[in-house]
Amino acid sequence: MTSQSPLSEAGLDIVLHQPIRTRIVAYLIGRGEATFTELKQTLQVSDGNLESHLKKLIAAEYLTTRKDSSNARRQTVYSLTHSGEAALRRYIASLQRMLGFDAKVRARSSAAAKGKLAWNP
Amino acid sequence: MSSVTTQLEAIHSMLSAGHRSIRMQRHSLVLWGIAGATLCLATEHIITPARFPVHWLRAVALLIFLAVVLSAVALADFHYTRYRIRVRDESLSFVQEQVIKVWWLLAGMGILFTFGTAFFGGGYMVFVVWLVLFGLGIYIHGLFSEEMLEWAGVMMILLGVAALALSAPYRAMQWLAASGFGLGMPLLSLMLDRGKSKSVRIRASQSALWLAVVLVPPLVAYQFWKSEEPQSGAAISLQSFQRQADPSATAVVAIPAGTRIPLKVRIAGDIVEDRDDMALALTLAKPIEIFLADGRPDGRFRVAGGQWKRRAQSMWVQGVELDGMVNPSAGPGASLKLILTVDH
Repeated sequence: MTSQSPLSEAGLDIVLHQPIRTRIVAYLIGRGEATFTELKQTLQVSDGNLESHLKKLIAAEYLTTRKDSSNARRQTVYSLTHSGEAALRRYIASLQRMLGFDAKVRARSSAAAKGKLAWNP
Repeated sequence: MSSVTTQLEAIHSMLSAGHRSIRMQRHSLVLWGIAGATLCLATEHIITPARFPVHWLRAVALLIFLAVVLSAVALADFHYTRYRIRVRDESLSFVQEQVIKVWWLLAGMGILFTFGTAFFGGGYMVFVVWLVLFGLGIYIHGLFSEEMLEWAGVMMILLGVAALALSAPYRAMQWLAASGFGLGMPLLSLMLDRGKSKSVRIRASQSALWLAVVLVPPLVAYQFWKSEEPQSGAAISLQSFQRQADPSATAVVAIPAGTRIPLKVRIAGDIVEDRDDMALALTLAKPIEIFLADGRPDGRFRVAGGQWKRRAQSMWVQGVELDGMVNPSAGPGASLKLILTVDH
């Protein structure tokens, strides 16, 4: 199991803080495992694009692969590792924290704006 | 701020897509639908009292027949589904494998229920039960795949429950189930849209179309069949019928009110022997006309010049009560009470 991936300045996992990679991991949490074709159809991305993101997730040990030998074509099936699942949970928690912080700031700004309007009609 | 919200929404959307990621294969709906419709319509012509005169033997033959046919369908569907998934470079997810097992379990329950009716009664409900079981299977599949399957599953269940609640005639239920399977399931396969989310109005319109296709043909056919008038000219009196030379003629015989009809009763069981022919006299309260095809009643009749009916759909025996007694003066005795209702 790998250690936690590097974080961005905002404290977000830099491997997951990319829309396609986030979607891949979120999809695999729900589905369990999926082939390259299924991921491509679901995410609507090109082969090359998907492949490069999958490689990054595998390098971070967020994804694991297995060869499905029940098929003469030996499909590669991708699934999430425990560290990948934990990373997505941490990432969601970080986003929610940011959203809560942002919401408080906005609430304060909004209240201040209302106050201004009240004082200067 | 907006990028955070967008990311969270994307995660939520993909989690949802992952949970509803299984696909109902179009060929599965067609295969099971056609098999179900064929069984609904053909089983009574294959497992007949003439072929299997002993009651328990007929029940076992029915059990084996249903088990063999549905197992063959299940195997064919399973292997073809795996083949199609491999060809498309997809995988059979864990959830899909479990849903397939649930489907087989429901089919197994249907077979056992059908077998059980031979011994414990309830044969009147057999088609409704199959309709509800298939509806339940489709609904469960829909929970993990497509909205449309959920809608269709619920409609199949409601159709079955409504048919039972409205005491629909047995033949109408049979045709309704055959239509639900043979027309409804293949039509549903054309309505699949790979899990796209659509408004309730669109889903309701699709469901109404589906319901119309499933309901109209069996109802129209049943109404036509039920009120089909015999093509044999005017009715002849009972006396003329008894005088005629050809006993195998096709005719309508009018039996006037007040005619006494001997009812032969034969009762057998664990503690009674079927030895004596008993005859009870029934007196007709209203005139009836009976259609004879080749000298034998084909089940069509009408009461007091009303609409033609089918015996199997219009006569009900209900509230059967059997009581026994022993007293010093009369010795042992038994009484049998039942209600015969004729829908005319």
